[in-house]
Amino acid sequence: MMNNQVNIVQDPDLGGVNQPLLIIDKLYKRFPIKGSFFSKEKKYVHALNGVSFELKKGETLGIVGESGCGKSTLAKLISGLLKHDAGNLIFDGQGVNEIRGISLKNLKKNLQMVFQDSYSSLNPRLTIEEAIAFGPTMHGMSHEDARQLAIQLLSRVGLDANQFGNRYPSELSGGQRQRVNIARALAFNPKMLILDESVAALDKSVQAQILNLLIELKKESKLTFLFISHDLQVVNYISDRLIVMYLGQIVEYGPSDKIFEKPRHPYTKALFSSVPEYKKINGVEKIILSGDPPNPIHLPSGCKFRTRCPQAQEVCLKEPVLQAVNPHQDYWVACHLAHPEQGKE
Amino acid sequence: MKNIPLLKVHQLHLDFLKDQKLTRVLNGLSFELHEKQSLVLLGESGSGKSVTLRALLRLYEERSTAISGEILFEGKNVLEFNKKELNDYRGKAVSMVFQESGAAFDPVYTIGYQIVEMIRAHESISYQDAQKRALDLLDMVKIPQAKQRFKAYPHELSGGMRQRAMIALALACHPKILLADEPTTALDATVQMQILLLLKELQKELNMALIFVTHDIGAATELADQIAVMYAGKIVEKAQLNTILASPFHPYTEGLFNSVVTFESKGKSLLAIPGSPPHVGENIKGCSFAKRCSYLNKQCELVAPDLLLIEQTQVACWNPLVHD
Repeated sequence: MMNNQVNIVQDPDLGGVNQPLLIIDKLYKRFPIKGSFFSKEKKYVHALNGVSFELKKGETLGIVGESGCGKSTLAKLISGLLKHDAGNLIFDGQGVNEIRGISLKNLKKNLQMVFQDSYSSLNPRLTIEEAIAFGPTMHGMSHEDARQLAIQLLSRVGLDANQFGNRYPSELSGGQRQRVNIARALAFNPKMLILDESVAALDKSVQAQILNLLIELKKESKLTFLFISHDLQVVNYISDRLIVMYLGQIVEYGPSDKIFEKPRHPYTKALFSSVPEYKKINGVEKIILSGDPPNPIHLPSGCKFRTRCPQAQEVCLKEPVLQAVNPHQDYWVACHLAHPEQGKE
Repeated sequence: MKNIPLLKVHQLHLDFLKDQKLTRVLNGLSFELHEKQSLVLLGESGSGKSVTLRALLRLYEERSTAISGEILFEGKNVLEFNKKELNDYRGKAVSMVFQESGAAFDPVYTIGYQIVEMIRAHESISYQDAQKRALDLLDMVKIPQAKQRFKAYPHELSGGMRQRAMIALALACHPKILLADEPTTALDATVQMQILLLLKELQKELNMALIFVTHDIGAATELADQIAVMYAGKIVEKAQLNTILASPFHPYTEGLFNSVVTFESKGKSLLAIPGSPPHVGENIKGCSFAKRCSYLNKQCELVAPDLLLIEQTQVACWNPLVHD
């Protein structure tokens, strides 16, 4: 009985290995602000302003940026928790939040999310075994099988089911709870995991354990990760490619090794300068920004970064386009100064 | 006179009393702080680092805490201060910057008023003079358009600005020691660096001593002369910054440094410390780190080690690491 391997079969791969798992094309999202009853003008928080990128199968894409840059909004749009205003969101060849697109049930089976707060994402009244088995039973698995699956998953994330299976979330430490959340996300054998600041709230010594676990899981099962964090070193450690976001736009996008070796966008440089160790390793000029990121309600015109950019010039009044900077077309930067010819005509 | 440290903490024990049960939070803490020195208390959540700062200011109610040991400020025991002495000590001689700048300000008064109030509470000085000084302070912490910001309410400022305003508030009476409780943790990366550099600059300029509490080793290396690593309510290792970075003696310190992700660790497996820190108040016989330690021997589980001097480092460990 105990050796019975219960498993949810992963949905068949649509479109072959080379088709990107996720295509995001000019995505926009804004949130209305409730103004006073008499205010004529309706105000919006512009969370995403035309974000486009692709996520290949089996890769780990990191997204970094300061708070308010839209990284969590992006995660919520992809996972179908919010609806986008404009643009296209295509998961494995099927549109998300479209009438003829992928159903929410199927999307959630193939795409799971692990959140920052390990405690509030678990039901306090379910034991962790029940919490993990809950999803599969909703998808038609028998209770006995689902329980079996939960036990397997717990051991996969390094928790002893005999010891922990019947405990409640409040009886676990932060790191253990995050392991449970990862186990629960894996229950459907998903194609993709979105990790939204999943290790940010953990102590450093525990954070390293979870990062090791994630990398191990990725090696075992061909998972695709979207890893969102504000911690540059963690993102660099785990991701193959990297997106740097600022005020709802992508400012730099490319292989993480290349970006970390020589960042091109002044914002990325500033972000890297804020890592104390970085200056000792790399000879990149250190930029300390002044001020805080602007309010996403009233966005600056032209280049969004120009209000804080130490190199801002007249051309920056025009909005820069995300353009490839290398012949391979895999490294993109949105800055006039990285492409001197742009903006001249 | 020179030999008396500015602040000396000796065998500080602190228990919280709840439902007639004592929970030990600080377990025999000892350290010294000299003038113009900066000490960083480094530790994970629950290690007692923030409690230490609050205990130094005696911010805990006597009804619900049991505190023993000595806190000597310029040779006088803070634990024996009466109300008047305590008022002169708090805010004037020693002041504190908190993590949540939003919660530290009163939302219904302007920040300028709150700084003036602080100055006038400690010194007999006219409102106009205090106002002038408050403006200077706002300038000093590099708040742009200090005159307008003087009249701003806390919620009208961004996180970074509010943190600057709080530093101005803490500096209002030229304290000899500034206590900083993770003042940069809640801020964005680019803003965090600004605040760290500001603190460093102000410390030099005003000849203050600084105790900075953080869990972030990166931030610690920016500011510290000395680092004290805390674990389960105790200092387990204390040394000069460079000494501790080059050769940590305590297994926990080593593990902590190893589990920090750096740019070099890409592609390698991280050397994480197994297990998780003990719960606050957990009754541990012997060394509190023994459960997670890979250099364990019998003695570790029986007797708790005291801080001993090895070379130039104070370490509380029965099997300190050997460096060649």
